Amino acid sequence: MRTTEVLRMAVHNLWQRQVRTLFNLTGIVTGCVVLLMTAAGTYGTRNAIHALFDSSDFARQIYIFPGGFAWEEPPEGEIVIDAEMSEVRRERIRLALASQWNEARRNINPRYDISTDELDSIRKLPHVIAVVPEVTTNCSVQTDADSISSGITTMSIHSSTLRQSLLAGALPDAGDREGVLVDEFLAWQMGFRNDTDLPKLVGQKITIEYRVAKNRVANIYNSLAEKWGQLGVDDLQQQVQFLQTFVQLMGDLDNTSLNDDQKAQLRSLIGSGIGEPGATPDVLETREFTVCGIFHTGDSNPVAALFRQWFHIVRSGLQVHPDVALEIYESQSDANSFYNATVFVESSIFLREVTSALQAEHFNPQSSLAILEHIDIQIEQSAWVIYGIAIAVLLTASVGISNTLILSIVERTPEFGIMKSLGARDSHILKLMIAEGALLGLVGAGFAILLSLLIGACGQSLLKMYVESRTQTELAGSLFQFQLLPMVLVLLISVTLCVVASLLPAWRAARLDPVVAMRRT
Amino acid sequence: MICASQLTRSYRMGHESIDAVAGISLAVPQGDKIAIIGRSGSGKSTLLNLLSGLDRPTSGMLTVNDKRLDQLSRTEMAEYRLKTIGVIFQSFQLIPQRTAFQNVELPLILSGMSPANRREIADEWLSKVGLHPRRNHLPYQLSGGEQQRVAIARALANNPKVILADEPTGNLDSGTASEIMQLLLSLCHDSGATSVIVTHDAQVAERCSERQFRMQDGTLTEVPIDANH
Repeated sequence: MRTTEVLRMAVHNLWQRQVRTLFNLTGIVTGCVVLLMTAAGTYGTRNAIHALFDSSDFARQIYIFPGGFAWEEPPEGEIVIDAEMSEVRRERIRLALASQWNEARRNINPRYDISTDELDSIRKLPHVIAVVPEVTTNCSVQTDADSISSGITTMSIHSSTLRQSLLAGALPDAGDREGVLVDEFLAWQMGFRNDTDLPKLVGQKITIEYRVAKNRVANIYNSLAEKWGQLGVDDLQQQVQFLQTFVQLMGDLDNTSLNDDQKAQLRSLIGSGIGEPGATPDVLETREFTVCGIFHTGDSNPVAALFRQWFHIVRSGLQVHPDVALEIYESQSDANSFYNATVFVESSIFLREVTSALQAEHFNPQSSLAILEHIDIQIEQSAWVIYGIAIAVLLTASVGISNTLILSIVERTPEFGIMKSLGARDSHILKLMIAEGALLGLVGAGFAILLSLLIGACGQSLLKMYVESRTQTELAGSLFQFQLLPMVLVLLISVTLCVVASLLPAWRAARLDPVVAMRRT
Repeated sequence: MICASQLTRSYRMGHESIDAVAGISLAVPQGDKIAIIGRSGSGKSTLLNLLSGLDRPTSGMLTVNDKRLDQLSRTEMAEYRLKTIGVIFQSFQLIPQRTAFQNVELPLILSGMSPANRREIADEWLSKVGLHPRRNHLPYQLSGGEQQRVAIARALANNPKVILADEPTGNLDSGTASEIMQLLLSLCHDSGATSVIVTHDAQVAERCSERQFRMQDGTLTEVPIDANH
């Protein structure tokens, strides 16, 4: 008996019992729709949240700091707990000792900076668009009337947020080294106060002086540590306090017991003028830039504002081409390293991959990853609860199918008897019954897919409107995103459950004695 | 060729064992037409079930066309029913949800025939029994005689070597019964198959067979032709 004939007969039999088939299908369709909508909703919601985060550049950035420290298990024999105690307490003590061992290891080999070589290696990581070291330099803007203190920082040419915050002008071309963006407050300080004045600043040339500034805390500290050995101060905050105290003492350097060489070394290290109270740092260089745009530092995007707050992101009054910012930075310091850097990632979905790669290099990456992963986990946990309910519905439906098929054997016993008297094998009856079950699963899942697509299309706009009104945020993309894989899986689950449900009835039908069966005609 | 030796089929009724077929022996050469007559409960239908492979003997040997039915597996027995025999029942045994054409087509489907061949053969047999115009009618839309014609067409569709008919006119009026018997005999004759017709009607038996057997209390005795006259 051909498979096509088995299927044809199965279709015929199901069609003959339309009401029963319809009831069976209802359970399957309900379960499958719940499964599909949950899968589509989970995927769509997750993507919408990622898109919301991606709308802010900050969510695609990873701020890296040196000093990331990888925990290691101490070597065997390093930790000995020679005491009588419970296993639980022994484990706690072991962890405490291992922590102590790791702490000591970190003190032996501290890291306070990121080298240019390391930045280059980070640039080669997959999904990394750019790596921009933080170079913030104090400077003054020279106007006809005044000299205004400000700061120069790297322009984030990859930042769409910066583009959105432009009040006048535009971002310079990628190769424009003379272009500068001016903060609206600096513009205000420069005398461009009315809204109509701001465009007038665009295209004007401004002169910027930058002076010998204090080296970065980390560099000074490292230099001191290099010359004098470990100072025993590891925490950054403590280092800052240490150096502040140190600079104050520099004013009274002559009264110390240091010899002249040591005093000279210190003065050279800290920078000219700093050791002398009231002294003004020397002008190192004067540069001229052309204003290409005015930007504001406020954030209309709530996600961006959130990240600015978390990561203490400060924008300086002036933003220049990254290479120029780097040149200025390097001209003030012989250090070829940086305290931190920003890694731009293609999309927030690659944050985990890039973060792991950075952690493997012992950096300390900070990003929105933890929040995104937390949200993803929450969505996934909710989805699994709904999946469970949907599977329960499907299981109930399959038990119903099994019951219906067993009942239908009683009704169809004469039919099976006749078929057997005509030469049908046990396997023919078995296949026929299983095919009926499989068809129920297949048709049910097929209907469910169509129904889900319909519900998704109709409910999408309503749900989006509701969510957007509740969150005051515009969501990108669809909240129900149907994927091929879940559809195939639902199809397989549905068919498998229905086939399993039909196995027992099929076996009972196949084993019917034809003589007994035909007597029931 | 049908060959039975010491064929017994027993049923247990509580602690008691009843022999519906009690050690009968029978030899029917290929192409012969025999009739088995007897009263209700004599064991005729049980014997026919054994011959048709729907039931298995309790003991004894049964060979049909060189196949030892008592030794066949379930699958082999199904194959035997499909290819070797055609059975016609008193109550027609048509599948009520299937049309006349679909009922005739069923054994052809089971034998794996292609749809085109099936259609041709089923239509041909429906024409032979005079029911082609009613091929798309369901059994309940046909008269008793017409239903039995469909059953005959279905039994013969696979060109069986042995045709077994269990009271084929038992549910029909005398006029229709006569027509059906005429048709059955004609078709059996044309096919050259061995035929075994079970009936309680001596006249029917006389008309349709070359040899007659009487079944009584599970035993089978050949009735000399002359004895009927």
